Amino acid sequence: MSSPATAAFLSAFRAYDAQIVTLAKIELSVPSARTLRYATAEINTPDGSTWQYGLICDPIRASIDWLGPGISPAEATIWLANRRDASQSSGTLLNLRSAFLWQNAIVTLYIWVTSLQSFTDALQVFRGKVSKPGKTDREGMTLNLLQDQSWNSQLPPVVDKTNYPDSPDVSQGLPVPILYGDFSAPPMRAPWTSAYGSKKDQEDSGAGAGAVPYILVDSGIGASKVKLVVACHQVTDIVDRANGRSVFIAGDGVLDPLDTTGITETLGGSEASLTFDDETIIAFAPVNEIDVRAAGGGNTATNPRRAMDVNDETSFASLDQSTTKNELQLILPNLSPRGRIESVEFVVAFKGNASNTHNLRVNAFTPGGGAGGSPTTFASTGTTPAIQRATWPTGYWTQNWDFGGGGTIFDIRVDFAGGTANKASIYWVALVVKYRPQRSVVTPGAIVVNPLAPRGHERDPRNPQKVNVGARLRLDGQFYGCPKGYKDDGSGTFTGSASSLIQRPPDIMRHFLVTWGLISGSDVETGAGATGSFVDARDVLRNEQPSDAKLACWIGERSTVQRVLQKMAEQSGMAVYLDRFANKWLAFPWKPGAAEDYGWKLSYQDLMAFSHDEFSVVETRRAIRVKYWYDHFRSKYLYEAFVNPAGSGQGISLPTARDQRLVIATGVNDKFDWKSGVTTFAATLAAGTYAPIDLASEWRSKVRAQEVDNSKFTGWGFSIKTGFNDLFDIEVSGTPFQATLRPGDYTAEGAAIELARALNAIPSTGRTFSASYDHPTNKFTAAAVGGTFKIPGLGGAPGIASSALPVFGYNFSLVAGLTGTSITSTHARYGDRFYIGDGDGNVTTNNFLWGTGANAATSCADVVGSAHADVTGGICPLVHGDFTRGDRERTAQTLDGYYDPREENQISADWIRDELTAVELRDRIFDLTARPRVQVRFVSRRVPDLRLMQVIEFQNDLDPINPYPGFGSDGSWAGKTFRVLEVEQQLGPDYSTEVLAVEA
Amino acid sequence: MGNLKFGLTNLLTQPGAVLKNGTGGGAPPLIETAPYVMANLLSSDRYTLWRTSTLLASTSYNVDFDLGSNQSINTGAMQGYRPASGAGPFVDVYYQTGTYTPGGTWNFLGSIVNLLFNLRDDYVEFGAVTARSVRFVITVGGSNLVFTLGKFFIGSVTDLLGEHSPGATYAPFSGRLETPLPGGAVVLTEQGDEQGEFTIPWNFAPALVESLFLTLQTLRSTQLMIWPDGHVYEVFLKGRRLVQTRARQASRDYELVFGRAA
Repeated sequence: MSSPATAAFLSAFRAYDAQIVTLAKIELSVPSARTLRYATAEINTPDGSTWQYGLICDPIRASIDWLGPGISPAEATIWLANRRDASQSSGTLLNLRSAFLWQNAIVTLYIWVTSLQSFTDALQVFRGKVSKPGKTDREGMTLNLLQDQSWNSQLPPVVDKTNYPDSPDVSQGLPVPILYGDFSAPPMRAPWTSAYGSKKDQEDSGAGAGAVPYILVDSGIGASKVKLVVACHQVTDIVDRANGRSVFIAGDGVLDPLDTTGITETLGGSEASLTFDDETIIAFAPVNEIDVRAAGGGNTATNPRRAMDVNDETSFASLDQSTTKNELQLILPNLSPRGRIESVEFVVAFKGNASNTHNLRVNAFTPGGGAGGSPTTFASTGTTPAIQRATWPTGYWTQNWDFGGGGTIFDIRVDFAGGTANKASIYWVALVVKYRPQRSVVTPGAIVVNPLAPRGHERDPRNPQKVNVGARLRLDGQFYGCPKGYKDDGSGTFTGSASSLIQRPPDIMRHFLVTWGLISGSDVETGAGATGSFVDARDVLRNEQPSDAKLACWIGERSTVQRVLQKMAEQSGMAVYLDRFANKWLAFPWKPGAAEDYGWKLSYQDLMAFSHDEFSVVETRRAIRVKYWYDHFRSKYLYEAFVNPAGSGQGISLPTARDQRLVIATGVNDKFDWKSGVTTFAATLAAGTYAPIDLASEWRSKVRAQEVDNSKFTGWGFSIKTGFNDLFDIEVSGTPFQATLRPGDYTAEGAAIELARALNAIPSTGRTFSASYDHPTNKFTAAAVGGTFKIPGLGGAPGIASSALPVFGYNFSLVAGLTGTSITSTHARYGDRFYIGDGDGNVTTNNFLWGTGANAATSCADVVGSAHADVTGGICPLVHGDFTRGDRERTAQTLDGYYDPREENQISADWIRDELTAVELRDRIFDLTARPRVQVRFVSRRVPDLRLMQVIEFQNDLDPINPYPGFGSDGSWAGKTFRVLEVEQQLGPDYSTEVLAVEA
Repeated sequence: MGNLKFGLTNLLTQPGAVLKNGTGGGAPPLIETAPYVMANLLSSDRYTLWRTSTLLASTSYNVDFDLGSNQSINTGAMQGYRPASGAGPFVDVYYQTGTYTPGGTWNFLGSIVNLLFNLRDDYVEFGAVTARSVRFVITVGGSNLVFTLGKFFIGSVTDLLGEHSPGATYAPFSGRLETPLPGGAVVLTEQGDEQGEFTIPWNFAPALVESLFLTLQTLRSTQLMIWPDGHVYEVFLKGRRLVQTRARQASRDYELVFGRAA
């Protein structure tokens, strides 16, 4: 919280008899500098300035649309009386019109109170430029003012023959992209244990996706190398196939990865590029099966088509000899040649079985003719997904790219080399063609006979001079890749970490403003606790999650700084604008439940006019769909996070799980397996549809029933439920005390406030408590003034049966707990996620068996948001779900009943490539638009320093006169917060502020 | 109570008047803060300001004008005074006849003494003299002083030899905004200098008064008015409107409404 006004100004301005003057400083600069000072009343100010009488100001108007990106400039209009300016020896102000360039003259408006003693206390209320010298007559002239727009340049640069002389015609005029964030390939999902360990094999098999275009600026004609420009600036990385950063050439409906051998990567400075020889570059083309061989002794595997889908690495075909599912046999296609084939391999992604006795085998198979003569076999006992890749014999294909065969048909078959009880899961199988891409002829080769003899010699017709002129070729094509964009400088100016990838939205916008808007770094607010701080916005967007919100901005279309900034703000759910008070850029995330940050809770006595209304039901939205991870090659979004009354999903992970509906069904998803010490347990949850904290309660009760003690705990987010997790034990000087928290679904900050309230409500502790939550570490800290206090280990807490200690991450391995004046939690705590833990300090290990439990197939993993993989918790663990979960489907159903169904809000977020970021955006938009919000309008003489997007609160003295209207609320204005969307500041003779604010 | 008096013409803002400061030859230096230069004192606009440089405590400064020719004068004034820092000065008025001679003899006319009392305008009357040059000697008190001034006045004030007819009013007022709050409190937003309105009826106007009123009605500029209570104001005839009522033959009643330049 910070005010642009000094305390002295506010005190003087808010006095009931203030003498207030508006000051206008007009700085002309062309052809020479001249500063004019005018005021609504003649005045000398303590800085030594004299302000001539002759100013009338229209109100300053500034606004931001609800959930809009901000950015639009504030505007003002002033009128100057036509009198001789002090700087003139003759004539009047109107004579200055022709003598000076008035457009873009800088105008600063101040509110001044005559009782102030220092001009540093003057409140700047506007700084901008003359956009238009307006209506002028013999009485005076009007100046229309707009905030500075000089930062709004056009970008990015384009390819032309000046900057890229060898660029092909197809590239002319193409923008050279600006890249922010991580464009690495989509990670491989569970059960694959590594995001990118096998990604290049999947991409070689035809699963290249999510890449961004590279610009061909030299097609390699003659001796030149092919050059691809990645970005018009230095980037973090371009090529690293082990980490999802491949380079592709467009193939036949798929992306063919390029072999990195021979590619030279240039990461900086004015551009990032790749170069390679067109004659030696190698690409990998997939040969994906076109059907299942059903007849002629063909396929017997279960779900064979799943092995044809290389893009879905989570589904598989099954071989199980015990049920005569012996062969996976798929039909290979013939392809159009794309170049000269160097070699062909097969790729099989599979998982075996530890008890298998025979190897897996891959071979060609001719229907009716039998197996090929060159099988490849490999071990099948591994129980985690793996890749087998080996040569596909030359006898099975030709340079005509006929893999399915001509006279003799070749299928690809996967089976076991023998045995009767082997099992395997085949995630995909494909051929990979290693080839040199076809080049185009620019000029054909020839033998030229030189008609001229060497100088000084006669031409000898018997020995004509011949010159071999080679063909000149070029490599055509479209190229794509998965780079990482801008990185921070060596000081970590924008991210706080030297040379780090810039990918958090506030960091990106700040860097973009400085780099492309040429805004001074000091003109972007970064102060801790300052209103609109870009640095603080990171935490708000992180929203109690284990990782930060991220964007990956491919700015590859001609645009402007303003439009790009708007798009960044829209896709990160933020509003950004240039503050008229301090000339600084401010950033504010749109987030429900924002806390009051103005620092003055408005009383009824402060309001000269007050009214409220509510949004129309037509404006509400309960169906939200965030489409993300845009694939430029296929021109489509790969994933979507959505919620509506009938469904929900997060996109990449567990794509078929409904993440906003908590339904336990008997025999389907009602089990939980875990191991505590050496004992293995299983619990069965009662069927039903749950609210999150109620599901946590059900979960804990069944677990405790199995263990027959109270050491296990569960929870969701920061929710408190009476009788479940509402008691917080402490000790002061050996005396135990117990705080009781009020029930509620809290934010982390809200939970911290409630904890402090509850602790301070305990009588006679002799301490004054505070509590806070740190977003970067996700940990709480409780502190006391007046001496030390102790937070006991859960095992030693009197209120263990319904303790709130785990809610705040206090789960010490020591029963005694910790003593101090400031105690930080041992465990990180995340919002919107289920968690489970154990407070027993005497148990060596807690394992939560989501992957290998006896009931893994019917576990509640999807419902509580855990990936289907075991989690080793260790001693006194607190383990969160891998994914957020909530109850928004039911909320949507309920609200549809109140307000009728409304159309879906589709958000095309082509700059989001992070699942959690997309889910968080979906949830924020849902929470802000699901029901009609209350908006208030008022006029006040008390808030001249109120900024757009600040959050205000009213006192409850408003309640008897005009009660709070929200349906289902307590009818009081106390505790309700409102975000300021419109401000109209009068600048004389009235100095009131008219405000529109919407329920935050 | 004195009589109502009007100064219709400020000789210092007439075309022939010249500011002598900074012209050399022994003339006093310029005492100014750009862009609020001393030349602005020749403007008739009360709001085209002169701002002094810092005037040192216990020091005197001269502001000299050449009227261009000998003129009859009986009043000097300062109009639109506003201190920026320090306390108001003590100002003596002198004159010379003949060619401007800065180092020559200056004859004392009177003192302007009331600017200490938060006045915007103050004046001094003296016996009519014929003057070619005038000098205002600004003597600073015990602390440094910076002030702004709209203009000096030098000219002849006409004494109407009476106050006015019964029913004259002077209504000073503020342009402040008075905004009531829900609880009954009122926010008072002051809007700058005090303003005022004068209504002057004059029944059976004698020729002197009638002549001055009729002349005054034709003037486009503001006038200096000395109100019978001794205060001086810069005023303008509202709408340049004069109500002349024929009372009986050769006798007329007048009513004029003046606004006060703040």
